[in-house]
Amino acid sequence: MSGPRHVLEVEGLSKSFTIHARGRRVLALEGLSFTVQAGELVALLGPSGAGKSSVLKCIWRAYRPDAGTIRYQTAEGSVVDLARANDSDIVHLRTRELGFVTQFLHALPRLSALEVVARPLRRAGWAPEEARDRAALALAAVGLPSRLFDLPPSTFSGGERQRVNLARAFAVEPRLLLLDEPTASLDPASRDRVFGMIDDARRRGAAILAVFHDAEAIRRVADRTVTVHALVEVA
Amino acid sequence: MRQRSADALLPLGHGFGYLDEDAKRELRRAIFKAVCVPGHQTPYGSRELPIARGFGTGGLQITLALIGPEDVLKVIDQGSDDSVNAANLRRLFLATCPGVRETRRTQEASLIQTRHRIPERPLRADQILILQVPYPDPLVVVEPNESKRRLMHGRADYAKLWVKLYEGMVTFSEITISHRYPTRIAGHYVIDPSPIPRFDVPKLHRADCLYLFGAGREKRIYAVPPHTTAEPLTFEDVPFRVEDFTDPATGRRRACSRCGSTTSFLDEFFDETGARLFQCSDTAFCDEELAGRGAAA
Amino acid sequence: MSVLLEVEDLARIHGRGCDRCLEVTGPEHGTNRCRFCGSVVALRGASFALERGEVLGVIGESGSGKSTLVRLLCFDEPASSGRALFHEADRVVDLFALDAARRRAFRDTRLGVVYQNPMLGLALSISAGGNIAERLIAAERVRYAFLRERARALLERTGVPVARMDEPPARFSGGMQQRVQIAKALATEPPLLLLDEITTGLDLSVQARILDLVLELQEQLAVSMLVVTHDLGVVRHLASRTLVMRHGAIVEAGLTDQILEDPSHPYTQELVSAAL
Repeated sequence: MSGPRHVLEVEGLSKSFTIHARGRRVLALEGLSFTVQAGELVALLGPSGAGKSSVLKCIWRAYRPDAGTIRYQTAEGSVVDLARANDSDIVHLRTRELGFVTQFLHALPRLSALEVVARPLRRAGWAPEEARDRAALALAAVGLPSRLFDLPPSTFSGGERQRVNLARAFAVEPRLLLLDEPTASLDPASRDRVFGMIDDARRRGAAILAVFHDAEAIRRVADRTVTVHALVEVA
Repeated sequence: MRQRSADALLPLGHGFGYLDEDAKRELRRAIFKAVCVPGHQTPYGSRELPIARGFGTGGLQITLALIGPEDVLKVIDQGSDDSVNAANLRRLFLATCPGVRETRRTQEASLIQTRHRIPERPLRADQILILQVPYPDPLVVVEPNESKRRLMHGRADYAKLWVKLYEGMVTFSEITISHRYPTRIAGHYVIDPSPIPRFDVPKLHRADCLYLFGAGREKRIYAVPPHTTAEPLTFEDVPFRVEDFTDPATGRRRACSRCGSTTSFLDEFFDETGARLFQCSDTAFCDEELAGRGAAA
Repeated sequence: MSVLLEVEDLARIHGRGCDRCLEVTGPEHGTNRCRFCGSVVALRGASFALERGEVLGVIGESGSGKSTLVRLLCFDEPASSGRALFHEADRVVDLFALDAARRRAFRDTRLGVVYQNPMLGLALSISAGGNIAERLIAAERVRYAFLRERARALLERTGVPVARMDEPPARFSGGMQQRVQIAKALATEPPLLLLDEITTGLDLSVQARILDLVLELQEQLAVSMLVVTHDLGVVRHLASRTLVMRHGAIVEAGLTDQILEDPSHPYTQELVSAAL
């Protein structure tokens, strides 16, 4: 009989890049293992270039892992190996259960901030009006002034843009949140707001795997840390 | 319409009906095929004739292939038996087809060759109407490529014709085609019924007689056999309408100024004083109406 | 999620072809042309599935076979071999086994195609509404009021000013012509749209608006799309998954962000690094 299940169970994760033009291979991760439970925030530690972001991207499947398993327990209770799941299943999970916040917001240039947040909500199954209301709440929660809601984020400052990015990811209430230096471009007040949102998400039972650029953030919100070691490049 | 051909050497030095027997046989085959596939443009080898192409040689060849010494022939042009084209064609028939009797009375004729009109009097099962056709393909206005047009006919793909009707509606709020109105035969092929007015199109529908269409320059024969459906292309909610002869001043239908008919297709012209006049386009019909009224009076 | 279109081992060879055509062409040989018989292998071994409601990107340079793929799927060109299965609610349609009449009916009702060149998809001298009407009439709906109403609604939805519905697209800007093309493609509410380089040659701001329209339609109508382009930006914004083509073959397939961030085929790496 199995004990309490982890939302995420990474085992023996390895990733390398073959750069054909230069005829060489770069090793990014090797044999990494860790777990994240529901309601827990695990922070990844390691020197710059150690591959912390690569871990997140392997789980999000923007990178294809070379080896290892990434067992994720879905909302319906089944376990999917994200390292091997087919692309369509990944698309489905990304829409409904996974969230990924990077330091940059990728969105169509003309969309309003409200629409940037509402669109994934509709895709995840919210009705159009509900999605709108929810998107407005999420934008308010990250402290974006409401006069900006109907403007495209491409006209915003870096900090405002990042707040839209966070609102978009948190609004759908993903079961597993991947955060890659989400607060790097924020002022202290906004940062505190984001920490509050992270706490709310944890209380809700979300599992969170994060990379932070500052030790203060780790002290403030991390339950545990996992260290990623830098690897040497191989020919 | 039995023919006796090699027997009589005619003044012009040709056999009966001008054309040689091989030409007639080919024409008859094309006519049979056209009757078997209603509305389908059947190709044939159009022959040289002592009349230039474009002056009714398509109709002429059909008539020459069908006519026999006991036939009674009527030739009309725009409703009139006396216009130049009709007179010339009639002269050719009479010179090359000994025994054939000419008539102006529609009900007496066994064969009627016509241009731009169908007679007012309904035709009987023992009569054939032969129409001279300048442009046989209704699709030519929307598709310049002949092989594409053939495919479209085969697939009964007439969407582009409907678009043309649509564009007319958009611009003028009505269907703007006045003659050569595209008409669907037996539910499949759409034909160009030659430049008859819209007034004549309903006469094609489930008629007792056989209609044959001949294009001499374009080398096509097609047919609307007896009792075959002929539906003008139109929208479900925009009914097909024939020419309207209502006088806006009186609100009543105009009458022929000669015979007084209020049912016939009218031609409009001006008399010596400059006054507008309306008269039957079918002159034979007009004469008979006039005579009939005279007899009744 | 369920599959809408399944393409299996699709190939298209221009020329007479020989036994060795497939051996000596393709990405690993760096050419499309068979050196024995001179035939051109425009598409080979193309297999993929398109889910209902999904946007699948197809990316590659000119001559990679991506437009050939579109032309085969909309019957503009015959396939040399392979199958394409279209899943309807109650049956599976083997597209290339259909006769000419059924192909036409299929194209009229199940497929919408939008071309790079509006002249291929539109009659530029016929009014915008007339263009849409043509597609509706092809599907046997010939009430004038219905044609007007439907054309108006479609143009409205695709952002063409309704006041201009009776003008010929020849007078429209390039972006507006693409909108009319999209409206026409959507006229019969087809479950599948094939978009072939629809933003190529348009101004950047117009491109963004067209992409926005496509995304909006995809979301509202849940229509599946195959988006063929040479522009990485287009697949980044539109497609959840992407196929990379070269020399007539699919060299890589994957989630779009993975194709962009972790490309594995040498050609994809070249393509991505060239674009950044």
